[in-house]
Amino acid sequence: MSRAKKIKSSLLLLLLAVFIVMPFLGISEYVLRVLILCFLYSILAGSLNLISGITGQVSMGHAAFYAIGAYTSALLSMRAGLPVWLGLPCAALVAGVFALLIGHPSLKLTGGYLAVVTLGFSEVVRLLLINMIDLTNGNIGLSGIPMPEFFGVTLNTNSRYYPYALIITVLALVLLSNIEHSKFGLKLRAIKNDEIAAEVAGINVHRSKLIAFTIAGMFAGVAGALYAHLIMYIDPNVFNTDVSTTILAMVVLGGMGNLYGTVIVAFILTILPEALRGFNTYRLLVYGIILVLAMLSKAIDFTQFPLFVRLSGYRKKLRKKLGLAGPAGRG
Amino acid sequence: MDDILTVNGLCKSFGGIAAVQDISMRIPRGKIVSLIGPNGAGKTSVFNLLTGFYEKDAGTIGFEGAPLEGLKAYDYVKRGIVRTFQNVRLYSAMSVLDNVMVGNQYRIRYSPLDIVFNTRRKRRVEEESRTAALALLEELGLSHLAYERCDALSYGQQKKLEIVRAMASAPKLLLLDEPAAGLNPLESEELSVFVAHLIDRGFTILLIEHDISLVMSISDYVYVMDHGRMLSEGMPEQVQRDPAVIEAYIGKRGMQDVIAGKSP
Repeated sequence: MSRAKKIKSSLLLLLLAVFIVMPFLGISEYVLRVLILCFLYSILAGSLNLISGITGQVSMGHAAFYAIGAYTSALLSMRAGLPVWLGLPCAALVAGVFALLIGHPSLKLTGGYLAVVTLGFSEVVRLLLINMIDLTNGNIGLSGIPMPEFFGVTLNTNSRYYPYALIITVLALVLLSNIEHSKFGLKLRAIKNDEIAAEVAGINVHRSKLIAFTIAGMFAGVAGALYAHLIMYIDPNVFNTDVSTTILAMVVLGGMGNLYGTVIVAFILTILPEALRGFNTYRLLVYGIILVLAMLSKAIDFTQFPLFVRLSGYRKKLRKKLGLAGPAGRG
Repeated sequence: MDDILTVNGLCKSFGGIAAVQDISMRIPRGKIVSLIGPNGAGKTSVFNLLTGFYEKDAGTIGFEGAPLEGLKAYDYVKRGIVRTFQNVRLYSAMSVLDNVMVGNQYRIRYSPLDIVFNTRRKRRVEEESRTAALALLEELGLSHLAYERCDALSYGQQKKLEIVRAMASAPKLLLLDEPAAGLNPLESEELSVFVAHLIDRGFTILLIEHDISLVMSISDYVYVMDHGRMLSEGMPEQVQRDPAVIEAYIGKRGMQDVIAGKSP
């Protein structure tokens, strides 16, 4: 392992340790709830990153799979009495099937056309959820969604739900990272850069896109299941296009194809609206300004994680420029 | 003789325009065969037909004795045919090394479960692929650029890299579409040495090229196309003297001038 890799992995472990001890530090239930939401959005943005960031196929309808996952898991636990944790794989499966069905025709489109079709799909899903009243209770939504239970312990507080969400999130992100750093990830990046050259290299472009889209949909489904049993109430309007655009914004600001950056931005964009509550009516305005500033500030490449490894790289370059090259010391 | 590729009566039209008419050619294994002709002669169309980008209207294409039928563009590399493009098509935002590894990827095998669990097997296979790609770059004098982004390379280097990426797929037949286009004379000279060297590595090459001196110096056999038809074929020196070829390139007036000893 190279030095940079070692630093990276030890930093990640440190970060993980911090998140593990978080609930024992006497942090308020409210802050833990916000952190759990950060986890959810990390999964959502991390999964969209696979298809939109790495493969370059912009989807504006990721909330649809989030909704499908949430409703699948909620309904299975409410109507069929399935254990809540079993709802996770089921949500992934159902969301994945929908992603496969919608992805197969629509991934033949590219760019803005694909964005419009996926946007339309998410609206269709929302309207179906509103109108299939027998199944979904329509606009009234589903309430009283059961909480997960493990060994007789019900995860009925944020501090109890937190480890559950953390474990699922870490697993999801590790999986997404493994996919990104495999030959499949390499194929996806090739497709983003040049589809025709990718075909010549023996890549079945449409199939690869479809697999990536399906995997992304499955993870969004998992996030939906986590959400439903956390909030215990869902209605179709929770999963509107605002959610899709927010997730897409996380991927774009995260650097289009950078999982670390995407997760960091997912945290920032989830915490920010909470932190801005003090601004009251101007909240959305300030939020918008911050988004625009973030887009403009390419100079601060905060998507590069870990920051100081990056900085030491800059220092090396600077030294070279100044003629101070030589064995780079301790930086 | 052992022909790796045989083409018989290949036709393709777009609407009323016959881009390729009754083209037949043979490519012997281990040779460099060139396809030349004025702009718009249909050379690249032939390439597109040979690599599955166009559907042929008529004719047969045989590769290693078996017909190339009903294949998708991504299947050709598995049969051993890889092409490059007239205007470079690299994965420009990726590193040089990654580009070569994409060329190599269809040959490396591990299961989806290996990806999920990031198994030792997967890491070993990836490492081998990386080492092989680096070795190839080292051998062809591009290893100092391995971690550069492709769009940081000079045009000549990009052209060369595209060929290296194609080589990484270990094809039996390499189709090069104007590799020397846009290169300066020095780079073009370098390229001809490079291409000639590819034969020693067991590749067979079909070359489209405008740079006549390059074609004449390295080709074993030359086909000449004009207006979608095969105009002439033969050894380089035969083709060079063929009046029909000269006419196609510089016109009747020009040819009379040449015969009369004036410069065209």
